[in-house]
Amino acid sequence: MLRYILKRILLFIPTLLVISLLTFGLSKLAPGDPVERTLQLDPNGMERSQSDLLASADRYRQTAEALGLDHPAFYFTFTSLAYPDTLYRIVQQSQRQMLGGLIARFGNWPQINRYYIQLCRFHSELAIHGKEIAPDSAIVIGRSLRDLFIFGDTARIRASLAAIRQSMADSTVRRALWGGYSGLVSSYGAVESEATPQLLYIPVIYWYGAKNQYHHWLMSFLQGDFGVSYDDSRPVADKLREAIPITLLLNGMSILLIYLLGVPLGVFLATRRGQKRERALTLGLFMLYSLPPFWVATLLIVFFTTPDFGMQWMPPIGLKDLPSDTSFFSWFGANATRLVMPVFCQMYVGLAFLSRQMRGSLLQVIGQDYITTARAKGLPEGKVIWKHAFRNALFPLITLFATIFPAAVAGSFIIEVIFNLNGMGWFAYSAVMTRDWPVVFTVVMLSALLTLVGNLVADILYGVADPRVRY
Amino acid sequence: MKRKQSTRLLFFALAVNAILAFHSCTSDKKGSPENKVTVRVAQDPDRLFPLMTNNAVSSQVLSHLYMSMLEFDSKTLQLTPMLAKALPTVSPIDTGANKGGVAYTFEVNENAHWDNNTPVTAQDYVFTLKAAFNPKLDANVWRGVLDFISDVQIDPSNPRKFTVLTSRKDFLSESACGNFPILPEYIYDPQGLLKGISFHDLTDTTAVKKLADGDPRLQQIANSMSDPKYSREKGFVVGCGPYEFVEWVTGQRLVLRKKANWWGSSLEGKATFFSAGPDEIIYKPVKDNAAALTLIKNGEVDVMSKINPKTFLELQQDDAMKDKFNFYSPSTLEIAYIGLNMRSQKLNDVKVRRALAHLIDVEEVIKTAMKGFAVRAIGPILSSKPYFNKSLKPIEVSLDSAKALLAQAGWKDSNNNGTVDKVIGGKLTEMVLQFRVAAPNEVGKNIALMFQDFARKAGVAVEVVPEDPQVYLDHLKKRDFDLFMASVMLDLSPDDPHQYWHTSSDSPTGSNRFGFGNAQSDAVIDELRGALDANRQSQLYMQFQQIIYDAQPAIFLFNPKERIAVAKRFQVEPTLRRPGYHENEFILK
Repeated sequence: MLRYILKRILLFIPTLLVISLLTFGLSKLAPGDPVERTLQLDPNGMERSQSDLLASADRYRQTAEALGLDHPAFYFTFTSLAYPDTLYRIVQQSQRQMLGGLIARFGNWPQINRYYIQLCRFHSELAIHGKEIAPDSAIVIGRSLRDLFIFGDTARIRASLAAIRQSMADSTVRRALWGGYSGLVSSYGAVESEATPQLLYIPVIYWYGAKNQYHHWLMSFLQGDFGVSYDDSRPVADKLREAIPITLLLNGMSILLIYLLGVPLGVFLATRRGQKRERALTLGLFMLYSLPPFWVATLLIVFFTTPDFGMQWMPPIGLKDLPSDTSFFSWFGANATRLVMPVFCQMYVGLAFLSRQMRGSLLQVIGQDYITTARAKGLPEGKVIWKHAFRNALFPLITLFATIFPAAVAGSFIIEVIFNLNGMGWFAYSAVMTRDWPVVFTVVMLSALLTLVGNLVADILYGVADPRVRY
Repeated sequence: MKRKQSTRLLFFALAVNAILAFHSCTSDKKGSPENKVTVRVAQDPDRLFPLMTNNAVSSQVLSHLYMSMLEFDSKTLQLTPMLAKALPTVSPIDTGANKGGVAYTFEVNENAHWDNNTPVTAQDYVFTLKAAFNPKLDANVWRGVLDFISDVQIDPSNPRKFTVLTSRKDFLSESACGNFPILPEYIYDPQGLLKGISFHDLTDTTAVKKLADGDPRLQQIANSMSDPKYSREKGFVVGCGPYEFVEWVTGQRLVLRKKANWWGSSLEGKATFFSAGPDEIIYKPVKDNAAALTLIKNGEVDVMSKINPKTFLELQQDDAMKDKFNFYSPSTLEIAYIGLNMRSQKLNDVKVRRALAHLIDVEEVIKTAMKGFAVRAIGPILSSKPYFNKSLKPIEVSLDSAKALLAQAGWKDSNNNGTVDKVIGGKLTEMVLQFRVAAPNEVGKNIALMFQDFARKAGVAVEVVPEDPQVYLDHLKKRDFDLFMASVMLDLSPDDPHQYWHTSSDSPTGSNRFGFGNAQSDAVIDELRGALDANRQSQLYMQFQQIIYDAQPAIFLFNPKERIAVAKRFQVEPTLRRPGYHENEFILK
């Protein structure tokens, strides 16, 4: 048994690693630039009227370095020979994407790199000589140049270069910028004419070692440092500490009630099979099972917490404002009724499920010979059910435990958001919506760990419940 | 027997629950007859450190904790002395390194004190500027706004008097250098780390680089200020405003309490920001709008703004709500618009853009999508501003005009498929426009759908694309759109068109997403920035509005009205400034 547990715990490691890799990979694929987010650009299309906060290249680089984004993402890159091993050094995400687009089309990094250098050089020349040339020309060239820094498709690049060329008709512009422009055109010409798309088909692995973003995050995570939230720069651990107690309480009560009510209900249904009461209860349970909790939660709030329907029987949603130093029991006393609706919404689906499972499992057991024997021996019905049948019908209860145990800590974002309870679900939901990756990573890893622990505990319990189970 | 027992047990459980519920309901209903106001906010603030936030809720909270030298009075809408004794004296600089700039001389009100009873001095002003300019501190918001300041000189004979030197003339510099929160040096830099660093060095590109590379004090103070305790702990979030920070429980409440002997009490009535009505202000974060509505209905919160227009109408007609709440719909400083991509081949002709403007019935939009809670906007300047160009007339909905303009621009339905088309670059191009909307913007989505309906009649096919806000923003940055729905939040300071309309803002992360601008418009915007003469400013504003009107880079829709419900026990004066009310001015009836 101990060997089995150790083996399972050892298996946690690769599982968690895979989950961490998936989460990390997805965060890299998700839209949005963490640097711009940190530089406080508004994501909702509601813009400020203050002077433009948009980061200069320097500010952008500093922020990227502070976030560790100037390092490669992973230990290695599996890519094609067309890509360089140093693309990550271009910290500006939009420029990196532009260069990536060009490489994907032409496959010749040396030429593309030269074009990029020419682009930067031309940009500097424009900054120096911009005031010497006619404003209209400076605007056209500036815009085209900005496009060249974003777009990696040939049509747009050609259009931008053509627009710059038109401005070169002016002799002042020609004098000031011709050198840079001709360098740009010839370097881009080389990108197109010296394309090596065949390199795109030659696989290559670049090894970066331990100095990468994933390694840094993983090592910190293992040392208990979950990082700092992008939202408010607070340690993620501090934020977790605030959210966990509420979820534990809410879900602990729900789980307790699911088992306290679900088990006897399931036994009751099994022992009264075919009776009217059983049929009525079964119908009720099926109905409960089919009602989505978010809908029930909204209905309960509207009907029972507002005076609209004359049934304001329940207190308002959310938790009562109490001083921070309130003891747990006083806090619980003040908030007990406020937890009634969320606990109900959290538990009724589980209750319906568990009681049905319990009923089915018990019915199977009751039909077996040894139960008939027990009855024939004249044992009281209660003893037959609870002592002989119940233990063998425990499996569904254990299976359900493995499912709901992780949720006890990870929380239910629907219930917590609707009832305005700032537990783990609410916390995770906010983090996902704002792409607060350090928080998302931590919550996902924690949930994964708890799922694994839940499954392990369930497996152990199977053995406790039925000695025939061998490990 | 057993059944009886279980029935009794059931009754007992129900009775306990009922008692608990009754107890809780009644104790909750005792509520707060005291002079406390509970304000619903849609989210928690991000932090309460003024230099590192531009979050709307943070700003709302911080406005009661910190004070600036000058502030806009929400009644008169004029820049008014707050910590300053009077408005600054302004004098042009004709010699020296800052030649061509302006000097603003301020004096701090002699009554202004911090919580430890030490006076607010010029040194605190300089300290705050140094902190904002510390390259190691993530204070981009303020650095961007204050970058025109080149030095500050403290009067050696008066520690409360100082002169701010600017390197250039800028019509916004007076409000900018006076309107940022002043931090107490004794709280944020108890070791005096920044004392030994000159402010001038922090504004000089070469010197600041040297400092950033070689002086550990900058990093040390940046680390200290970034510590979360300066953002959320009592004793560390300290200003000289009328309220003190009490506590912040994430997701539940943030409490401010009126200071007992606040230095500004004697100035009450001189300006709205000197008012301190409620004894306590409690901010209650509630994300879900439906949940927030139930809280206001059962009296758990006293103030709620940004109520959906339809719901607001319903609440106004609800008898129970009418008994308990007053409803206000003051104007806002927001303008909603449909942005057009002037660099798209389909929209680069002004006739086409004007045709699109004829294809939306803005009055109908206001009536339907906003339920009347908006006023039509003509351009990027609010009609309430003194320099609004009244000669500009709204572009009326007209299918015939739209069709005629499209035809003039060469767009005709040559293949009879119901959509106009044109040969561009040798290729037949149909007028199919992509209209991007951020998905959470429900009103925006409705407007886009209404526009789609109108436009179809003129042979313009509009594809409405609601998308995740981040994806939406990415598309705007790459100019991958024909139309987009957005709104701009203005403020009470004079409008600076630079951010939205100057060609230098036509960059991936810039706000000139329209691709608008040429040398002429840039010249007007640049001149406006440097114009300190009111008449010239007004002329330039008029000219600027005319240019925008003629170029039609956007279809300006409306200036929405705020929708606010406030508990009747408070006497309230709504205001133009966000969020439409000032909770510190609430008076308990």
